[in-house]
Amino acid sequence: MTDTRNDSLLRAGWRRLLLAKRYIIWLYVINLALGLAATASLGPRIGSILDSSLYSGRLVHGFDLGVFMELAAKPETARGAQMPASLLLAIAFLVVEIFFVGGILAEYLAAARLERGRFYAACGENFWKMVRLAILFAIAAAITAAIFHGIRTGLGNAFEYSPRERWAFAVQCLVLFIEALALLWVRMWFDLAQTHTVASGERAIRRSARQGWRYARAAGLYRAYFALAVLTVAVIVLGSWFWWSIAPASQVWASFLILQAILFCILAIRWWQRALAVAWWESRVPAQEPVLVTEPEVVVTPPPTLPPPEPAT
Amino acid sequence: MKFFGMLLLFSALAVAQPQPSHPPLSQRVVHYQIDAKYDAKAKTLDAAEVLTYKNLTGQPLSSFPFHLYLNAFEPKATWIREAHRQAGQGGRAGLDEWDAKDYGAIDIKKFEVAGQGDLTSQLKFISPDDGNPDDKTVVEVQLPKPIAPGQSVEFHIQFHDKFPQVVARTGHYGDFILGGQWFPKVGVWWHGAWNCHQFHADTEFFADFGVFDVKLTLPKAEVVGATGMQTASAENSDGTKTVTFHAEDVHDFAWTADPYYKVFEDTFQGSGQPVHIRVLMQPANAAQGPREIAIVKNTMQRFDQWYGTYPYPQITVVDPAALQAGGMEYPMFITAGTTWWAPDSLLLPEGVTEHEFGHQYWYGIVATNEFEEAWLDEGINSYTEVKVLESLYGEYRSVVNGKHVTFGDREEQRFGYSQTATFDPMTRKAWQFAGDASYGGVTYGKTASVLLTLESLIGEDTMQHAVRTWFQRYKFTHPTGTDFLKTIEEVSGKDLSWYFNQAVTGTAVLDYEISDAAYWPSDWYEAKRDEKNATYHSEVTVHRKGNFIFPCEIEVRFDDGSMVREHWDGQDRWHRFTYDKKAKLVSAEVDPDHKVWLDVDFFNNSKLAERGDGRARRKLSNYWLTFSELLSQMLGWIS
Repeated sequence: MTDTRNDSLLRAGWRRLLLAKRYIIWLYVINLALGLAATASLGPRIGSILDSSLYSGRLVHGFDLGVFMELAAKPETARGAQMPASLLLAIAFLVVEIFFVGGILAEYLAAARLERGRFYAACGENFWKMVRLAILFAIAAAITAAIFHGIRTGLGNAFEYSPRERWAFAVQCLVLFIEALALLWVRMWFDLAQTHTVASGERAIRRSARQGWRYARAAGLYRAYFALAVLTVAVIVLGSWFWWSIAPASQVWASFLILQAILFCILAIRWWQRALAVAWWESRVPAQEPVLVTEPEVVVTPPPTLPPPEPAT
Repeated sequence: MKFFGMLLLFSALAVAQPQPSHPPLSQRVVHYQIDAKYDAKAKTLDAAEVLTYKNLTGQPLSSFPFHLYLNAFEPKATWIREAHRQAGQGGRAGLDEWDAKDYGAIDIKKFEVAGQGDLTSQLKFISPDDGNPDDKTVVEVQLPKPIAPGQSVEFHIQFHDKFPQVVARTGHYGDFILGGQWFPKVGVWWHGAWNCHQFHADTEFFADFGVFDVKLTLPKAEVVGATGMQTASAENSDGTKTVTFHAEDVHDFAWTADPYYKVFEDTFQGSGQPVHIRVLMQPANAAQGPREIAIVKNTMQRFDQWYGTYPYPQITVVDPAALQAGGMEYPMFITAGTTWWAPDSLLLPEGVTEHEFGHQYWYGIVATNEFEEAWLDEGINSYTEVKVLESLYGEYRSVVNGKHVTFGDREEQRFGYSQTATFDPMTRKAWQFAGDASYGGVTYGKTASVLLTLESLIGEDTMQHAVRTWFQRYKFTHPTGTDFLKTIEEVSGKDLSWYFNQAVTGTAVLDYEISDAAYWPSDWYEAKRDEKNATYHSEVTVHRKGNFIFPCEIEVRFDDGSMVREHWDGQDRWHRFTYDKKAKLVSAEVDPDHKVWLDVDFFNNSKLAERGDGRARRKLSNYWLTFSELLSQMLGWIS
């Protein structure tokens, strides 16, 4: 899947990921905590219907869609009430991740554990830069997605009356795959821009984006990104199969653990990708661009000099 | 000149008609001879129709109404207006949003009556249901000379069809064409009057039995399927071919053509003649062909065994290019609904094909009035669909038959009803329902649930016997709902009017709950109790929440494993059962055998004396938690 150089890139990224593992675990814990907060009001609402009814057994031993539909249709479950909370807390997680990006990239760049003060200083110092880069990324990703959406719509219209439905489907899948590759590339571009921003202390975000664009022509790095994207898909598919096949339908804890393991892996792999970008940046970018992980500047002011005492008269 | 040419053509058609192959099964009021030429590029059709109508009404007839169904797909038609309203109600969207090029219409070019001349100018559109002056789905003609009882009249009609882009039941989609409701069709003289309703968004059809001889001329490459049997096929010098079909004792004729159909064939041998099964699949779905064959044969076997013999020599199953044309029934001809990727555990393709085949018995052979009593067709058919699919796949697995995920057809029917329980009685005329959801929920779902619940009152075997009697007694006769209910009472030997008044003609809602299930020590007032020999006082309160009165059973369980079955007539609003035992109450459940499928809330049918372990709650919470975290991570991709 990858050549030796990519393997070494993957290993270099992996080493950095392990270095920052405590922050990845923290991010997972925050992800879980926000998820729990988003789910908190659901339990009491459905519990008032399910906990005292024998009928709920059809949801425990297997999953009876008819029972679930009847539950979802009840006014007490307040259809749709759960979604705003989940969306709101997803946005909160986005903000948390943006905050952590500067610190974790600084640690990746330092290739050593940063002390807590320096870590959070890097987080704070880069926060607004990362916010602006995230906005730029969202725009670039949206444009990319819009272009491909147009292509897919055009193809859909062209194939609308075709009897070759499967062939049309395969073409649509191919376009979707290319779209995913393009979006992966856009993500890599902005990961490099983020790395450049943290490493060089660059304040002008557009300049960082330009640098990222310049670096993003790296085929080796893209192959490594692609390998990890494939790994993500594999984790989801195999994890879901494992969850579906192994976990007994009535074992809620087993199901919880498997699903959480999948979610943790997805999160970690994403941060592995960022570590790849840092490893690649360090190996390719001229050394004159200093890595900015500075001690907080201490301004030493000389003690005030008092005027010489006037001679006694 | 043109007129005489047409007369010659009609005479030729009359000469060419095949002789009946067996004694008539129906009264054969009509005989249609149609010679049609389909323009596959323009999606239009030009035809000459000879309709011979036999006056069996016992009185002279001087006016005749005709259905012109394709005019429903014109901008100001009642069908489109109602579709627009339904879209506003959150129903089927898009039926009212067509480009003008996609509209459909039928235009009568010439209308002559043998011996009475050209009456084209006498044709008058009428709107008996809603008075819509822009609706052209029913046309009436007054004859100068009435047709005496026992006499026949010949109508010679030339017409032009413009097929709509398919949205429902008929039309084109790419190279595919479904020719349904495509010719002028005379109304039914029923209970002393003409019955010829406009085409509404939620109505289907009603027509007289007879014989059809249809010639279709269309491009040579087309693979054609139709009602009846193909009797001839001849290639023409202009790159077209003419295919001839003959059908007896049917009340409609539909056809389809598509150059890409893959044909699958098989034979079913039941209690009657061998039945040729012809399945026309889209090439992408060809792998699903054997699935279609299997479900048709399985369904035919059960209908043959349970209700009676399928009387026709063929059934054609069409896999349409557009889903909008799927799930439709015509005599000897049904459209299915499948996709190439449908996994074996998802039984929707089987469900659609079973349902449409079932229509052959209720819509096709018993032939009730679908405009006025849609429940007799769609509802009884939904009930028999539940029975057939459950016999094949299991009670709770007949829609989704997964390892962990399941869904049963009776659950689907009941769910549809429970969402619209209070709006309309089953006996409402189809176009007068509160909306599309109510029409579907009541006509299909409620009728199926009413008949499933009826099994708990008269027994499953008696119910099957009653439905069989209904079919055998009333086939080819256009019976009514009253006939059906009387048949059930007669076969069961029970007066069920108390049930039918609430369930069929009323909108009463059935909802029983265990409102309270609790226990406490009998000597609760004592400061010190003998725990070993303690007795407990238990109380179970059953509450009739709805206004539907129905006798019910209650199962009460105790922690020593004992169980008590109680019976309550359900007349009062609530009833309390009390027990003094050495055991503690565990649970109480109304309708413990799950026979009362009209109950709109199954969750409140049972109650645990002590709160359960909450596993269902935790399981669903876990799923939502996972979804929320995944959503966060997906959004976090922006960071």
